[in-house]
Amino acid sequence: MTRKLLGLLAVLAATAMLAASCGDDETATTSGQQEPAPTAAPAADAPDPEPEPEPAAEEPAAEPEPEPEPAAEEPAAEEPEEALRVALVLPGSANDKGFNQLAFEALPILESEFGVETAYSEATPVNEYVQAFEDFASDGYDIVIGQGFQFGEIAAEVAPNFPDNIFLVPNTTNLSGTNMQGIQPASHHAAYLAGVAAAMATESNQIGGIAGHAFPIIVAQMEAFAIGARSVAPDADVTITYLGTFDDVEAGKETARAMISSGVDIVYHIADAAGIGVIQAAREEGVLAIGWGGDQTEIAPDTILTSQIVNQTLLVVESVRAVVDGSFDGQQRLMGLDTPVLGMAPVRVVDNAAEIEAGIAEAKAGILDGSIEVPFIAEPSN
Amino acid sequence: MGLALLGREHFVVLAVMALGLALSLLMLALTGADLSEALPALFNGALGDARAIEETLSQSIPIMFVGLGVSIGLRAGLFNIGGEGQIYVAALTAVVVSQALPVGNPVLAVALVLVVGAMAGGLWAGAAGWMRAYLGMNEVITTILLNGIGILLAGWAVHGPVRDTDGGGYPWSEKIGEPFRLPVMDLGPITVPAGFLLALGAAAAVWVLLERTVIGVELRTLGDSPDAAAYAGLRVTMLVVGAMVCAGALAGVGGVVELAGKQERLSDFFSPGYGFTAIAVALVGNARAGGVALSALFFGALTAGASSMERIAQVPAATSLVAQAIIVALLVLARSDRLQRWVRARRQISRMLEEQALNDRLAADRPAEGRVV
Amino acid sequence: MDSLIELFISTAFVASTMRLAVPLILAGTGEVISERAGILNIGLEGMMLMGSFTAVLAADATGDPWLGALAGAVGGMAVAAVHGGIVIVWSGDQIVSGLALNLGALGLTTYLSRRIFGTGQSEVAHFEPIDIPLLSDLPFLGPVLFAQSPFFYFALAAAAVLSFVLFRTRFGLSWQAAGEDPDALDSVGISVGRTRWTALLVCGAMAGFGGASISLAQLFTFIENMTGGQGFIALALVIVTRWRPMWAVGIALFFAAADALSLRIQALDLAAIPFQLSLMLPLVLTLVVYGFAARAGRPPAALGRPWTKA
Repeated sequence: MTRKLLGLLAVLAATAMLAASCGDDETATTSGQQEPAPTAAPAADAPDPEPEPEPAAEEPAAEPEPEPEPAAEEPAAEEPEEALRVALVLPGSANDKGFNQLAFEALPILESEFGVETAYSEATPVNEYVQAFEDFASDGYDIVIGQGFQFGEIAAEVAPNFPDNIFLVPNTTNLSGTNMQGIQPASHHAAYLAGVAAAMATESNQIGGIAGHAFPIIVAQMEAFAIGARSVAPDADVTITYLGTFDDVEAGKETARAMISSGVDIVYHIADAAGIGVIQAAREEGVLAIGWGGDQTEIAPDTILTSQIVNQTLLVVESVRAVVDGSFDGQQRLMGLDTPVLGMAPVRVVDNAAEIEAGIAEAKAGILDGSIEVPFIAEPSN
Repeated sequence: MGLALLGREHFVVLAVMALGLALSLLMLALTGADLSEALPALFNGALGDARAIEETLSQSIPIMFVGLGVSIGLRAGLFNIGGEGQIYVAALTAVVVSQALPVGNPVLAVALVLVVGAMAGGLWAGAAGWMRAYLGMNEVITTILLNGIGILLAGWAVHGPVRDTDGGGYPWSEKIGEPFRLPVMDLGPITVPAGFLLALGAAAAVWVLLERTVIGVELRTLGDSPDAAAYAGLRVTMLVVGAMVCAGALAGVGGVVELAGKQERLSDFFSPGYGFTAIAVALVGNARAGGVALSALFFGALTAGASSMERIAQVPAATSLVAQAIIVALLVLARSDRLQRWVRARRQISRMLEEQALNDRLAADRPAEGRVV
Repeated sequence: MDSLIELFISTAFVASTMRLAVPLILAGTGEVISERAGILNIGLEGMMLMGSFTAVLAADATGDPWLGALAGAVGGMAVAAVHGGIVIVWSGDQIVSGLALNLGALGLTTYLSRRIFGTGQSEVAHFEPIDIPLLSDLPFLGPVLFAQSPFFYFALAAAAVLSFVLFRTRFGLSWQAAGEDPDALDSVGISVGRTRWTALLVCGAMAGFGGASISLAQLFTFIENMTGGQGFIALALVIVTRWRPMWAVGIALFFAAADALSLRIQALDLAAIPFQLSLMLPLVLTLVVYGFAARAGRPPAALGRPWTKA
């Protein structure tokens, strides 16, 4: 009951805020409210000065063009008296400690930053994807977000029937249309940096990588991680394993233990909840771990060397921001290392932390200026 | 299923379902959900408009098929918990066959995948039947283990051999070819998936099998008393394996219909637990074809409603699992030996009382005779 | 092949086998007792899951893992009590009741964990492995036997104690009688219902401990459906033990070794097997072993049959 009441209050407050600030200075308001996430500001507000050094040759830089105010035709501007409504469809559970949870955590930010009203559906069964999109769209949600690659084709199927709604799909590679957009982070670029850090930190020269499912975007990161590691230590032994689950903490833990017992002294994971098991094993066995998603140092402060940031929260926020500030253009977007969506958390724990930081910075600069090319490898190589 | 057929058993089931739903809603209310928002969402998501009704029908198709299969097993005293694995194995076989044999004629194509799906599901369940009949292994445990194996098999296939090379590499199979897909029938106000009509057809076939053939009688004899069945000269091993094969075949067809009529491709998460919901469907339907059809519709509506309740009122959809469990548990109670005896005893007592009352009245009518006590 | 042999005798592999066996030993011995007394518990998985959940709930609220473990047992017993109500008091069908309890425990724990913990739940107070002084420094045996969680030692002790009680005490004999010949038990003036109740509640407590051992000694948190089918493996295990508590220890270790092996096949690139196929290994092995054992033992005569005074 109280939660409900609070929600209502939040919506009311948000509506009031939006109504009060909905004059011509809409963009000013949004940027003014970005303080809570200071890193977000450069990405969204100043993409023009930097001419997108890393468009990955896929799409000719989607963001920069319609930065002026075409606000007239955006839903936000059309009905300013009503709060924009945003729905998020999650394929997994909202407390998976990773991919889904990070996206889920965007909802309160969306509410406070853009004054929108939100709803979500979690652990959505495959056979209900279309139904979930249609339900939300016909229930008056202006923006429907499907978190994950698999929603690309669902959006392409549903969007034409709901021309007044906008369908956003983070983490998909090919979705463009008048009312739909895919947003893809170049996560493998960040994974390369994680590999660099791992190779600079290992003493045994044995590095382990543990991932959930062998989805292409995941495989690409694991492969980039190995390439990054070998760029520093060409003879490094990099073992990569796919668990076949993102949820089985025990599988993550035992697999990591097995790797560690064979001599691995740093483990990297892309495995959500199962990744927590990986970190626990590293802590219990006294070796290092590299986190994924957000900065995972809190889970095991003495164990986490650094974390590969793939900020799913920010990815969702940014995808909605484009709609709110009028820069939505229905073109597939690529978020590179130059955006705060991707990066590395501070390096901690080890003595040569500063050296590793420098190595990461150097590699990052190399990727951004094109001197280092990180291939997108969708098939496991070993 | 007219009102005329609404006997005592039907009344018990209806009462159990109503009580189960009420208890589930009570749990929601006790844990702080807002029923004034949740209840309309539940109802509208199940039956509110044409789209909701279509979703209810669509949700009821696979559980109707699998539930019918479970019912055949139940008649023979067998618990087929393996619907989930049978669905995956059948859908996988259908995917492989549809890719290997690009049949152009839609009728042939659909018939082909239905048949191979039935065979695959039948084999998968038949293996459990064989283990039961010849090795004495409990089918509850074997079918659960076979579930895991079947799901992993399908998972391996969609990550490897049948993976869609064009789907950005996402681990799912290519969409099955156009001719293999089941159409949707436009019936004016609503559209009905062809799979629903197939499911009703399957219900009719199962009704004939169970109620109008010797096999049905034999299965029931076996279920009532294996000793009696053996004594009567029935080939128990054949019946056990046969019942499991039929159950698996039905589950397999359910999986193929889900594939050909709805999802069109196989993935790791193809079935959201149809195999388990189907057990509740069969129990509530009292293992009778007509009852199973109706209870599949009920659970389809419950699933559709609970999902919509999660989306609109943000109440976790796991509620529908709890409701299923409560309904099944209440049903066990309602059909338990003790209650049955109690009911019989009460009925006997009331019959005695009635007789006595009748005697009293008769006695009163004929004052010449003394009162009979 | 050499690497496989090396693996089997490696400390890490054996230690991991021991760890993975703990929930199976706990739930398995509990189920042995319950089946000995004539009560079949398909709901074992649900009891474990509920135990995992209540253990985390209590450990989170009190900050004390021991209270958490206790609460895990209580959670398992609560589910067992529902089963008892249905099958002992009302003589309902044991299999269907168990299935309903599995479903209900999954739904209830999923729903309640979301309502109570939301999405922000992190590690709760938990058990770290106990290093037994001196002994834990022994080569091989140290890490394998003397640096395990308290649940490991408890599981071994419980199996021994329950074995003793079952075979060597009057109490245990009455359990056996309740499963073999309840009429005879009744004729000597011992309540069949009460005897079955105690066995069932012991089973619930053991399964609850088993669930708690997963949540408090392995993962330190509750995750939906975290028992992931171990209750069913434990059910198969009971048949292979031929209903002997001490055997549950050995069989559980065997199944756990298969589990540990399947995880290591992936982690160590031992064979070019896709991970789904290596995950099948423990399931297939369980099926095969069960197949060989199914006819070897005879289940308690009155297993699964409701009993009422004639």
